[in-house]
Amino acid sequence: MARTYDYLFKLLLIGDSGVGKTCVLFRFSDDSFNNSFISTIGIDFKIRTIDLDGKKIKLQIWDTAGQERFRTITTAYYRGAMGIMLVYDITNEKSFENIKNWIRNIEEHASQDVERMIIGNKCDMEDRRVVSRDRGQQLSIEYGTKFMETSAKLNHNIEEAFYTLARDIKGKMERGQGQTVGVGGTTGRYQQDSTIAAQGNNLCKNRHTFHCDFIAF
Amino acid sequence: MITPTTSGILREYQRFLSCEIGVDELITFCRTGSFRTAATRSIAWRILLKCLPINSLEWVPVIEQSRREYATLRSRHVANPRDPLCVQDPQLNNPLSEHSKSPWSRYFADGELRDLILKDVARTFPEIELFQDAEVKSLMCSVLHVYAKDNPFIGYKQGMHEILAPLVFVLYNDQQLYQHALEDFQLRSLDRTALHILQVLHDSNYFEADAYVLFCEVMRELTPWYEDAGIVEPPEPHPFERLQDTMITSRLLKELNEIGQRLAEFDPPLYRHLTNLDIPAQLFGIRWLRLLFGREFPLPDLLFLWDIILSDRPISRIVECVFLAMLVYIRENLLASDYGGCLQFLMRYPPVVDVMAFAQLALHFRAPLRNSRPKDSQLTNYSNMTLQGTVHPNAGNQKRTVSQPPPQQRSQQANRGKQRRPYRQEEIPKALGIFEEQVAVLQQRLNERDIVTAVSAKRIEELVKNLERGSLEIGTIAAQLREVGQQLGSLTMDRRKETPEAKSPAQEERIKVANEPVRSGTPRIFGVNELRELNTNNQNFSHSKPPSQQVPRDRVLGIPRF
Repeated sequence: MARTYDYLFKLLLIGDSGVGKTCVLFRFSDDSFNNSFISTIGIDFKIRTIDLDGKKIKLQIWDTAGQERFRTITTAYYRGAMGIMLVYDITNEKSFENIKNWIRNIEEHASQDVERMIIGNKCDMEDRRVVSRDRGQQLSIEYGTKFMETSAKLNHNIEEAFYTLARDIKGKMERGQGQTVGVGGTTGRYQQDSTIAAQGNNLCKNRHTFHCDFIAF
Repeated sequence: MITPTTSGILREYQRFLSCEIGVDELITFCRTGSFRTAATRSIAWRILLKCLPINSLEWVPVIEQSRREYATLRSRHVANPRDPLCVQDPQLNNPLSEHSKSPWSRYFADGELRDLILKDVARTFPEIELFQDAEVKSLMCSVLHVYAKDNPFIGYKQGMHEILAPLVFVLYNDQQLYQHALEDFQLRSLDRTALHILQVLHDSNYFEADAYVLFCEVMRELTPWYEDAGIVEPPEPHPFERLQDTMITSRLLKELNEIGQRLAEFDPPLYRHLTNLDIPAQLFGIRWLRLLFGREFPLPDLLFLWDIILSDRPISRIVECVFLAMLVYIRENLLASDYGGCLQFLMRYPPVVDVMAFAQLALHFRAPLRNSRPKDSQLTNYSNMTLQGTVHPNAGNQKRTVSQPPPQQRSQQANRGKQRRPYRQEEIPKALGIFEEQVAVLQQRLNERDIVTAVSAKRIEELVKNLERGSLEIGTIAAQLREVGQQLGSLTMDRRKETPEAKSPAQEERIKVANEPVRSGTPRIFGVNELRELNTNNQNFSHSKPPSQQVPRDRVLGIPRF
């Protein structure tokens, strides 16, 4: 058997209670959806290995509890994270406004080079929408992050969101490693093909419909 | 599989309450990472540390007893003169009273200890919000204060606050999880006895007492690494002994010495590399051991490592294995780096990617037959990142570390590398800490060198006098000079010359540069090469003399390294 994976990325889902973080994660990891999820207690994680540009990437995705009660604890999980998804509910104004606070939280506690992405979940509930897509997009421009609207229920943009985040981290990783490895001829076990970094922006070819509302930088 | 609609936390509690879990299962859970997302880690740790018995029916009396004991200790050691329970006699309870029984005299005497503890507690895990909480800080101060007063032979030492912090985190975490599950009606199916046990266990009113009890048990294991080196002087202090040779009296340094020996068994090339660079485990390992790896792993990963460590008591064997695993984990980085590069990697350990695989490596070292070694591909670290996520000081310097320019240039390049990104305001204290640490290490090495050169100069002077007076055999003088020369030579970079590996032209060049006498403004004593020449010249004489006149080897310098 070949190696089990080429990279392991740690991702973190944060956002207010009830915006659907666990549902987003369950759709991605188990491809299932349940309307009656109970609230997350503390912290949990799921693993899924994906293929990205010929590399096996193991995603270890941590799901945090959104309640205020756990806020001081969950900050402990920020430091190891390489990508953070900030989730709000498009039918809940407060959860959208709180994204600002969550971002401040990240800036205080996470690595400064962590990849961030804003997710507006529950976009299947168009009739109850209170946060327009434009406002979401505006906010993401303000903070220099990517943005997508998703629906865990309809499995809309869930894969794409995780793939995009993973690709961004991979690009960053490889640029970083390219700097470290190579020049002096050290044969590190993880020497990367430099052409892969160049392909970083090719969106995944083998994926079907790809609704990506992202802003590239 | 547990679906998200069945309450995982309920199942966890049930397993402990119904005594389904024996000690062996508990250890298995610890090693397989079952507590990484659990709500019962604090229970597991209390059982492993023998603060609680395995039978849940005995928990309430045991825990109440320990809380009472703590209350007594606390009132004995940290009396607050303003507390209404304190002596109310105005003759005694009076800040101006000089009576020895006045609570104020003790209060003032403890002031220094309180300040010392507070200074450290205020800096505990600054990136985790829980530790910014005023109540948590004051709780930690009290626990450390009581411990210091109750264990006067060891007192309070820096680092203890970072042993306490993970315990506080775990207890607080489980309290919150329990409260939430209760309020969320996820524990409805438990009977009243079970609920009562859980309520007592997670009672936040006794947070401090529970933290103290756990802390004491962990400290029981760590005391040897915190105690003073003792006043046992080596029988004959040697002029050329270095730090790693002299202070073996301390149990911490002895432990580190043993770890060095085990590295020699497990990974001879890495051992040789670090020995050649004169990087003993004592240089970086004191912090690793005293904090039980607390600064080298992010907290969630650290807690998992502690699961493994605490489930294998007495912990010194498993700690040794974790230590070795950490070295082996970054061996490629270390082997490709020079002195400065290695220190950077060891002092700012690069993030471990897959903590499960890392743990497997440590367990493999612990019991190679029972635990298979993880695949190499799983043992990845981000050598270009630091734990905080900033660019590692060694990133982009690989070229330098491979061709190794002379040391004068090295420091300049290191400075240049650091200027790549200006420090943000909040990073400055952290960065300062790291710099201070490195300056301390370099200072210590400079001191060692100063001593050795000073002593060498003195010896040479004496030998010259002897030579003039003709009071010593030429052969003896030659032998002694040779030893002085060897000792001076061992201080410099050219120790590498002795290693059998083939050298690239670049390395040869570097060695040549390193061997050139220093031409700086510092007062010159003797260049290494001059001493060498002196040696070789004298050798001609010594050959003509019978070998019996050689100075016995043990009189000088033959001290094992690492």
